Amino acid sequence: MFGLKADWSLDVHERYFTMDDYAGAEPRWCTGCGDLGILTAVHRVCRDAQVEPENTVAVSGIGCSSRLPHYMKTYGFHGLHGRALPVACGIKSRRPDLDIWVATGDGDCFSIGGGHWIHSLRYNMDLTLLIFDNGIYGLTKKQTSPTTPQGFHTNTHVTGALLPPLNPLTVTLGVSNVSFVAQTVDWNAPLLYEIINAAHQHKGTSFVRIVQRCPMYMEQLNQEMQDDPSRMLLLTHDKGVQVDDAVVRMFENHQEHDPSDMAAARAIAQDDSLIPLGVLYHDPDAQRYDELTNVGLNMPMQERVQGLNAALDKFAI
Amino acid sequence: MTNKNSSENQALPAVAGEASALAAFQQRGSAVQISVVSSANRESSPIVTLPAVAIDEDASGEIIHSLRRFHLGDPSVASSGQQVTESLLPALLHPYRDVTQIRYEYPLYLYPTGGEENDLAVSPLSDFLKDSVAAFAPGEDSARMLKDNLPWVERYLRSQLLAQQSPVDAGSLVVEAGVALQEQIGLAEENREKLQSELDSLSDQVDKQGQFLGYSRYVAIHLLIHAARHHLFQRRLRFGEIVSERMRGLIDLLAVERAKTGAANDPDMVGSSVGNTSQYFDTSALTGVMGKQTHGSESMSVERKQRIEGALKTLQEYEDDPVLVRCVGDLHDDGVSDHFDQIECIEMIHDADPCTGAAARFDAEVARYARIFAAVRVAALETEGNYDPSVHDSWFASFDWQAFTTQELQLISPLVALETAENIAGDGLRSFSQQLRSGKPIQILAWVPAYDNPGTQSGEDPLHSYRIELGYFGIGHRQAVIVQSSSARHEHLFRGFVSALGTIRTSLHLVDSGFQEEDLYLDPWIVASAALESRAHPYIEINPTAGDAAAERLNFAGNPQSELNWPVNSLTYVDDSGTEEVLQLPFTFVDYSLLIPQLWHHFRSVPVQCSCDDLLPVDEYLALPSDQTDRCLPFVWAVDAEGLLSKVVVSRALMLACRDRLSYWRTLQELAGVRNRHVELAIANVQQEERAARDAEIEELRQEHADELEQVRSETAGEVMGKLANVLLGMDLTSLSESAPAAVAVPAEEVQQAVQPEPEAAVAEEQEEVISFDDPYIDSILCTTCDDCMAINKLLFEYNDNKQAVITDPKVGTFAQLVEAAELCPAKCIHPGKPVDPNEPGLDELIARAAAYN
Repeated sequence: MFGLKADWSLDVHERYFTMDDYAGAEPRWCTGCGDLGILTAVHRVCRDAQVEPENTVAVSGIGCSSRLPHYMKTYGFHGLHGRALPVACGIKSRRPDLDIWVATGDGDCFSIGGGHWIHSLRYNMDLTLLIFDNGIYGLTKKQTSPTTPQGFHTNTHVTGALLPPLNPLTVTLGVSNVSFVAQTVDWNAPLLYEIINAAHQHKGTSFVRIVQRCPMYMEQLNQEMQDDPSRMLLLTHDKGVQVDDAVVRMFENHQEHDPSDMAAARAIAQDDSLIPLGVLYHDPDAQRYDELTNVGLNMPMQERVQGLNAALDKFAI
Repeated sequence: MTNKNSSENQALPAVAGEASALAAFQQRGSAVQISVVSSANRESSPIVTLPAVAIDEDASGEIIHSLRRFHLGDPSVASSGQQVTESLLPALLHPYRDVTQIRYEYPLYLYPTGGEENDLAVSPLSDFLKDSVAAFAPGEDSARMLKDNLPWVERYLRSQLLAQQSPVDAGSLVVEAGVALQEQIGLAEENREKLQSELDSLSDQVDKQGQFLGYSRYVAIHLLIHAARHHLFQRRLRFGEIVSERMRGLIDLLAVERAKTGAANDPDMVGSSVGNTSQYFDTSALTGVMGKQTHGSESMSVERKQRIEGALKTLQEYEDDPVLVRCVGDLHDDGVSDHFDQIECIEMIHDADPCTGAAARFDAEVARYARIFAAVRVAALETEGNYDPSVHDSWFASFDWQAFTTQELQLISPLVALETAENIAGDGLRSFSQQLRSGKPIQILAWVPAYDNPGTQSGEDPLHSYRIELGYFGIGHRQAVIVQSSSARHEHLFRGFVSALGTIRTSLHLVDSGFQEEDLYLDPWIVASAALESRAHPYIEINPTAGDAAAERLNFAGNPQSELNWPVNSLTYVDDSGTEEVLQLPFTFVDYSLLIPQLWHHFRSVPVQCSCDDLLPVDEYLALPSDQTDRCLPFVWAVDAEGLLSKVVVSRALMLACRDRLSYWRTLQELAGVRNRHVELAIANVQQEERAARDAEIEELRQEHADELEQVRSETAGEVMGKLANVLLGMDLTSLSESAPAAVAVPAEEVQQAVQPEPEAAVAEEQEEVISFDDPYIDSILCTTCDDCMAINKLLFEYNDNKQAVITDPKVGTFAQLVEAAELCPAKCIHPGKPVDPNEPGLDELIARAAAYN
């Protein structure tokens, strides 16, 4: 139209950020740790979206994964065990303009932080929630976590974990008003990047469970999956994430899955014969609590005083 | 699209007059808003809004009455109502208000001459930048920082070229943009150096003589100069070689002639004849021995010698014309002449009658070239001994441009008559027509404002009379090249110039630039684009050499959606209930007129609250028979700077002009064979005949079928009745069953064979090609940044811009380290290849281990 091509809009960033602009301290994670790849993917997503570092916040709880804010050259909050999400929700409710990443682990989120996990999902505030799930308490040297496989020998269950592991996907998909649920593995960098990128673009709480290696205490846990991709199921759909054909060919099992279909998502999550990878559920229109708590944030001080006076006048005698 | 009633629907207070009704509407108009999303690129388009207010029937009736009087041209309402302002644009143009946010085809990169004739000569800036970067950094991730910031560089270059009237050096500007970018984004040292290296590579892609050309009033003439430069370069190079060759031939002839004289025995000539060895003996002594006798050969005649010497002198004096283009015109009023006086490669010749002046200058130029071309031909004839004075003397005595070959004519610097539409449609009409008929290869370049009527007097409303179409006037001359194009489409302009320079005919270029006397609210490029889009200035290119039929001669492909009356595009908006709706909007001559201040008095805004069934979109109005439009009020959709969407009613005079433009457009369509009425009728007739034949055939088949059915029925009934009669007559009942057709017994094997699926065709499994690389490599895209390989050898492995591992140099590590890293790598993306050092210990075992990863 009018001689203009599809890319007619000349959008220009006045500032430019490289990956170095998001890289904080030198990571102390062990060599071979899956956290390193997740961190790189987060840096890449930030660089590609050109988010401003001063308007970005990384929030975490306690655990290996929760060291992520130290490795981000942004604002950060390394908080209390299990309490990453309440802090993140608090930030979002007062500063809706900030881009918020939440890094938490299987122990931090699913165990002590379980209550916050459930309610944060329902609040659906605009956060990118990354679960670094290595199936073990790594920082405190190999204690059983909620996702430790049954029978796996740990320092708290020396004869093997007694109970079957928690399925975080079924729990998450059972929470009302959940809006984005995805799962990936740390050792497939292109898929990891695309899923984190999709999660970051979603407006609402994006729950991403990243099945992750721990080379120190769970070295063999995911080795079979790495060696045998037939144990994984790649979810494909136009509404899901799009990866290169070469990446698709890495997986033997594919399933066309519409992420807007909650019943299908729950069925996939429930079936533990294969590890599903991709976007299980996505509802871009789910109600967001932060949009409700943001009302009046920009109200001038004079109007606030008037409002307060009006409210207090009701109690005047 | 209809306005939605809001919840505030209530009766308006009674208003006495139209002005108060409008005021009341305006006041209420700000109450409720409906979001409307614009058209082409929804993510980039600004949101516009439409006030949704209650419709009051009484006040609407009063306003509609006033608008109807305005439409019909009642002078008493000329100054009343909501007049349009500069910020009110046709709805489809709303996203393009800010030219700094638009990537359009200008500025252009002008490639220097030097290559082959068909090499790329012009490229839009954005394409040039992308292609240049891709040339040294293929793939998505290489030169990432530069690629990410290329839009910034592009915008910087655009901003620097906005005020430039002439081409500027591209290399220095690209370097300047790089410096500005570095300053703007302020990277840390390491990244700064990396970006600088990428910027340097970009600069290397810019040719030394490459230029950028921004969009300006005179862009057409600059492109003509550029086209001429490319057109002449190779031709003149080849002609220079021919001249040199002919000169050598003539010099040889004269040398032979000189050798026949006694002077050939002079010591110097003797020495020259002998060559280098003459230094070993006394050439004077040899001259003494030879004496002064002449040789026995017959000398050439004095006339021939003079002819040869004359031709040689002409050729020796020949130099390439430093002037690329000669422009004849008298355009001091708008500064065109002054502008081109300052450009070195063109000669500006001032003449009040450009067409006549150009013809006179052409005669002078061809006379000069006639001497040169004659000398070349004389040289050719003389060197081959074919010059016959009885034939050729008279031929060369009357040698003029009409005897030139096409190649010779194409060597002459183009002569351009710079005309104005007013002149060639007014006082200069005669000389203009005379020039078009002359056949002299002169370029007539005329700027034609698309909104204007060139035949009108100064200050007269251009809609006061029907428009003279200069393109059609040119077509009437049949043998001239006619190109009507827009400066907004450089491809059309450039192709027209190249086409015209390639022929040896008079060429007429009618160009609309979008510039007007006053600065417009919108960028002139958009205005010129809108003129092309609205059929106000259709693209036509007539090349008489392309064939005899009009459709063969006329290139019409540059018009958007040329098969339609008007191009139609969609406008997506969100109504007050939040539902997205799509409106198909044609872009008509009336929409274009909304961009022209001189025509604003032909528009009146309709308050959004006002509704009437008589309001009709312009295209629908034009589609109605004229006797059904009496009560209709044609309107177009417009958007103001605040994003307010509204209807704008159009005057009857503008509608008549619009209908006239449409009629001209339909004529062009027929000429181009796009929508030919005769063809349409013929197609309809053929389709009707086909349909009738098909119906007849169907009817015949149906009848045949019915007859056959009836026949079978009667035969079967007869047979059954016969058998029944036999049974009833007491025949052996068993014969009935025996006479019944028995099921055919099929062997079981055959059945099995039949039901078995045919053996599947041997599907060759797609064997992935097994590629073996000797050199080690990493599929970096798969790298998980786990640091395993880094822990083995930090010199052998490093991270790229995406923080994913690459191999630096296999020689800085051992094969054992590569194999170990491959085994440790969780993504299995390290491929060790073959060992570099054949003396490395334990290679056999390492190679065996590496095989699993190669």
